[in-house]
This record gives sequence, C-alpha cells and structure tokens, in this order.
Amino acid sequence: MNRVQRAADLALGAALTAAPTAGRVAKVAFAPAVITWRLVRRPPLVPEQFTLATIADRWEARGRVARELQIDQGIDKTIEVFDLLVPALTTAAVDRIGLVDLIGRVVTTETVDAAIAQIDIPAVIGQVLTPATIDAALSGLDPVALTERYLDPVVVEKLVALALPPLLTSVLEQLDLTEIVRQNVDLLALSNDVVEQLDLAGITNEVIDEIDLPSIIRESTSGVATEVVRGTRASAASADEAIASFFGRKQRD
Amino acid sequence: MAAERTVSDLQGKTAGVATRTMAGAVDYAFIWSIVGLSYLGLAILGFLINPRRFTWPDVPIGWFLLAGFVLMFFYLWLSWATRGKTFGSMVLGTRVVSLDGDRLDFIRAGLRAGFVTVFPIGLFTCAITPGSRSIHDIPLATKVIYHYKVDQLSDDPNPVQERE
Repeated sequence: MNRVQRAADLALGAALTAAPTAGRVAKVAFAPAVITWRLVRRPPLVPEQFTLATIADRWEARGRVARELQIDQGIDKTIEVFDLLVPALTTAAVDRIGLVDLIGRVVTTETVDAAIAQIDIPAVIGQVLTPATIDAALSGLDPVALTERYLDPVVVEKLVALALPPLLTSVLEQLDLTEIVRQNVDLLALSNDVVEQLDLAGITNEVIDEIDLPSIIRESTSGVATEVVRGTRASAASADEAIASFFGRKQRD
Repeated sequence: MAAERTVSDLQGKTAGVATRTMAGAVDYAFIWSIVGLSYLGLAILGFLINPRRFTWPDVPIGWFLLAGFVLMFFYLWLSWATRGKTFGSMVLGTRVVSLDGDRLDFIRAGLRAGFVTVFPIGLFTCAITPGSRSIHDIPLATKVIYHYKVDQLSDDPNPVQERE
C-alpha cells in the first residue's frame, strides 16, 4: 500500500467521521441563518421601498429588462444581416446555374411539340370536366364578386345611364301600373301591416317628450300667477293708502 | 304703473290694513282648508278600513275649532320665527319684523302667534294706530312691512329674484 493511497484513505475516513457532525451543525445553524437572512432582507421598521428585498427585486427587474432588450436587439441585427445576405446569395446561385440557358436548351419547339403530341387532349378534358367537377366549380363561383372584380363601375354606370332610361320608358308605356297594383296587391292588408309596424303610441310619446309640455305649462302658468299676484299686491297697497288717507294719517313713516 | 311703484317704493315700509287683512284671509283659508282636508282624509281612511259600514266621522264642531286654532298658532309661530313670512304674507308681499327690522326670535314670535290666534280682530287696529301698527305689534315691538323683493333680505338663505 503506497503513501498516496493511505493519505486518501485517511482523508476519506476523517470526512466520513466529520460528515454527520457537520450535518447536525448545519441543521442547527440553518434556522437562525434563515431568520437572519429574512431580517436582513426585510428589516423591521424600515419602509418597504428601502428594504434589501425590494432593492434586490428592483435591480433584478432592471437587469432582466436590459437582458431582454439585448436579446431583441441581437435578433434584429441578425435579421438585418440575413436580409442583406439572402438576395445576394440567391442571385449568385441563379447566376451560377445559368437557368435561362438551361431552359432555352431544354424547352425547344421540338420538345414542346413532342410533349403536346403525347397528350390525348379530348381524353384529358373528358377526365377533368366531369359533371361533378363542373358542379363543384360553379358552386364555388360568386357572380356578384366576379362582376365587381371584372366590370369597371364607371363603365357600368355609363352603360346603365345610356340604356336604362329609354328601356324603362318604353316598358312603362306598355304597362298600366295602377291597374296591375290594384289587381295584384292587397292594399288593405298592406296598409294594416304598415300601421301595425308604425308603433303610433311610441311615436306620439316621443313627440310629446320632445315638446316638453311641463315646461310650457310651468312658464305659462307662472306668468299668469305672477301677474295675478302683482295685481293683487298693487290693489292692496292702493287700498292701504286710501284707508290711511281716510283716517287722515300719513301711512308710511 | 301702480305695480312698478309698489315694488320699488313701498319695499320695507309698514304695510297697511288692507294688505294685512288679505294676507290674514289667505292664511285663514289655508289653515281651514288643511283642517277640512284632514277631516276628508279621516273619512277616506275610515272608508278604506271598513267600506261596508261607512259613515262620515262624527267630530264635534268644537274639535274643528280647537284643531284650527292649534294649527294656526304653530303655523304662525314657526313662520314668523323662521322667515317672518306666512303663506299669505308671501302672496301679498309682507313680512313681520321687529321694530329695528330684524327677524323675530322664537319667544317673541310665539307670543305674537298666540296673541294673533286668540284675538285676530285686533288686526284692524292698524288702520287707526300711528305707524300702522296693530294692537299685536305695539306691546311686542314688532311691525309688518311690505316685502316684495325677497332678495333684499339679508338673512334669507335662498334669495329669490322676483320678476318685475
């Protein structure tokens, strides 16, 4: 057994002997340490904003924000670099391949003719345009949207303005509208419907609300009342004067 | 115009017998209509409680008089001790004040209310007394003035601008 090994064994033995004791010491010391740490973080009687915990939180938040900002900026930078690089690289790659030449060499009149000759067009059409596919295509169409997309509104407007008046006039000349309405429309039912829809009571109430009847009545009656009161007071005062002079006494002193 | 003159000139001067009598008449009408309405209310209450055996409440006439006088006393007392104006005074534009123009205190207002309630006819003495003061006014050192413009009252909590 050499020396090194003995020394290692010695150290291991000492450590194994000391370990439980150290654990116990740590356990005993732990609780006061925690309490002390808490007291240090949030000392009693110190306002919340000055405690170590608050300050630490604030610093931590500040650091976090700075870090996130750093990351965002890094990403932005990277994207900028990519934006610069990608077009240049793509152009270089396409140049290197010689795409135009390649297409010119492959797609000649002969090759295209040969390709077309190989296709049985009626059969292809027959395969594609089955009743089911036509139905599906038509059901997918929105005539209004199509019209709006392909017809220039200005042109349509001009066309309508040109064509419609003479057309309508001639049609109307042929028709006796009054007679048609009288024959086909149940005017009584129609007017009944209109009256039912109207909510006459509601309209009447609204109108009355708008008029503000109370204020009108108040104003008019208060005017009348004031006049009556003023007249009464004036006549009473005149009577006072008359009576006073009758008793030969100067009334007002 | 008579109305112009009464409002502008007479304000603050002692009111005459005609004005005061009319004011008193309004107050009497007011009090007695309250008594009458109370009787009516009593009757309606009786009807609501027992509609089938309803009879008009049998109240002796003396009770009416007593109710009227008690009501009149408290009404006059409170009116004079607070604003110096009863309902009749408000209509006719008069106000009861002490000789130096102040509001009556509670004691003087109470004494005057009792006196006027018991001896209303004394009002007419103001037609002949100097300074147009009735027999109620002289011992209590009060007077009744024209008071059309309410906003001239210094102690009025809510001055009202009277339209002219």
